[in-house]
Amino acid sequence: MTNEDPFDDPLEAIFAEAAIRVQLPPSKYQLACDRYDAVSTHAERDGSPLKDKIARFYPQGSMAIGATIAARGKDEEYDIDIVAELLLPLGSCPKYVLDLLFNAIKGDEGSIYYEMVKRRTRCVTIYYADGMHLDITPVILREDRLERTSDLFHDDPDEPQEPAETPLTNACGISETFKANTVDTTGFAEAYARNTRALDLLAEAEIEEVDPQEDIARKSSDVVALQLIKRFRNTRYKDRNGRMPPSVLLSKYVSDASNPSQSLVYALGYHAAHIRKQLVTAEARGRLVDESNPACVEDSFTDRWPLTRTAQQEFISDLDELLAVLQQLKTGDVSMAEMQDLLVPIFGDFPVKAAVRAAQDRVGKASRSARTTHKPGGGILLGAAASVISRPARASTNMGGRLFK
Amino acid sequence: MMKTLDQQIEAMANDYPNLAMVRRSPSGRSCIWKGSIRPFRKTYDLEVFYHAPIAPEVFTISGCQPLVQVRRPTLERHPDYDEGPIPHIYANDEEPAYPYLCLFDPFKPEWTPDDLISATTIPWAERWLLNYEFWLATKIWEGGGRHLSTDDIKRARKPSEVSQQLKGAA
Repeated sequence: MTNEDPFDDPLEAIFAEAAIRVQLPPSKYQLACDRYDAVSTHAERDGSPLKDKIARFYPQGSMAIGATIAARGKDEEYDIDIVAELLLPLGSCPKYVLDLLFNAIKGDEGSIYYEMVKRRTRCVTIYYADGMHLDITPVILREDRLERTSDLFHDDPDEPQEPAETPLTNACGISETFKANTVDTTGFAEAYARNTRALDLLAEAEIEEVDPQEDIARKSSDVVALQLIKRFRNTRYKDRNGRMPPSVLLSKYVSDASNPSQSLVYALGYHAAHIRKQLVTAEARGRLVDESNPACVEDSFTDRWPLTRTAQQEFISDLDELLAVLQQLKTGDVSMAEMQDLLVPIFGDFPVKAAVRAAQDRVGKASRSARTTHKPGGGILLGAAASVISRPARASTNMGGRLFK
Repeated sequence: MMKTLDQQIEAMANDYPNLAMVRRSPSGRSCIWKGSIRPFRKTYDLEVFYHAPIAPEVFTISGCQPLVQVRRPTLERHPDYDEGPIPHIYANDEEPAYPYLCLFDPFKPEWTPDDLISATTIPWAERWLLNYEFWLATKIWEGGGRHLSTDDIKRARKPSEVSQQLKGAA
């Protein structure tokens, strides 16, 4: 099925509605921005150890590219990645930098973040009661390198014998490349935004002031496919120990193969197949995939996963299953209930059942208002726009009981 | 103007060649189409029976309506679901597993013998089937419709078994 609104195809609608339900809603995106602004202001307050030492806070990772989804195994929790660019001397000790940021945010007993903050290996995390976590990573800009290339700091507070490190990063570089590569060139982003706003009333109220280019609700099929691949990964690794394929690696693969499409189902299959190909190619050579930040070659995306061929093979096998399900949905003889049963193990119970219900609502409304068209030989299209090969069917009322003559 | 059975057969052959006419009564006024249809991703085997009235006043609309049955897969019965055990069907006492789909309100009437089955009944059956699929998935019926009221029953003159009588004629 194809039509002007990509979600007039119930299968497309189900995938889009599932993505909408696992992503960070626009209202929470704005809340996250407000929160990191507030944290930045708090960390720069008079008397703070970081007074006049913060250059800027900016989003990184999924938050920077608009692809944040619920955390692994937690449908209502979101990890928001923020960079705190600090005005400290190059060569500062990792423990010193991380502790400084931690103490600046924590403040004195009774202050706002005092009970909410935790020092971690590379960042300081603030835990909000609504399930949002701000991971604030301190960096120091390397002015001798490409724009925004920075030192980040690694110091595990629970493993003091482990050597501290100062690896290079360029969170901005990969994000800008991703955003440039995945600009929507179809009507997908607008249709997706309409459906996103329908579920996020707060964002809808605020949307009038948003520049379409800055509208977080608008996402290309590449971005939404990435969200679904990450959700699939989270579902598969929910009960597994150890690390999972990192989001930044999946983002790079999607960015490298960007191909905006009107069809989310196509985009998901296309990117899953592309990622699988990269892993299989490495596997065939007896190696592990090796990817780094194109804006900073020292910034490895594969330094923590995969660490073994078994880990690599495991995700290849996962992607094989995803691709097999997509193939079955596209070409198999499957009912809606069977589709739901196929998709629950892929994306989880909650988003799939909610998405099927949302797609049902669209189909029901179209049926009741006679906004369906029908292909010769069979096949329903939703929406008022009839294609050249289909014809509208007028309204009718389903009845029931016994027949009367 | 009321469509003749030949007109119905011709339109069905043009629009739904996959639903082939498999039997026609010696009188030439009744026929049965059988075949597969795929409203979305699932294929259904349908049987459609129609007995063209001589003149509209001889039959009520409900009595002369085209009768659609799903022959495969057998429709699932779920008494605990919304509108269960199966939403919006006419019971079939002779073959309870194969009820007739209830696709329009004969008391408005939304369908008359002036209409082509291929332009009304079959698209409505597709709609019904897609909504049935969602009903199986969610236990909720969103396809709309209404149930017979007491007034409807009073207005109807003859309780059915019409389907089997008509099928006998074909």
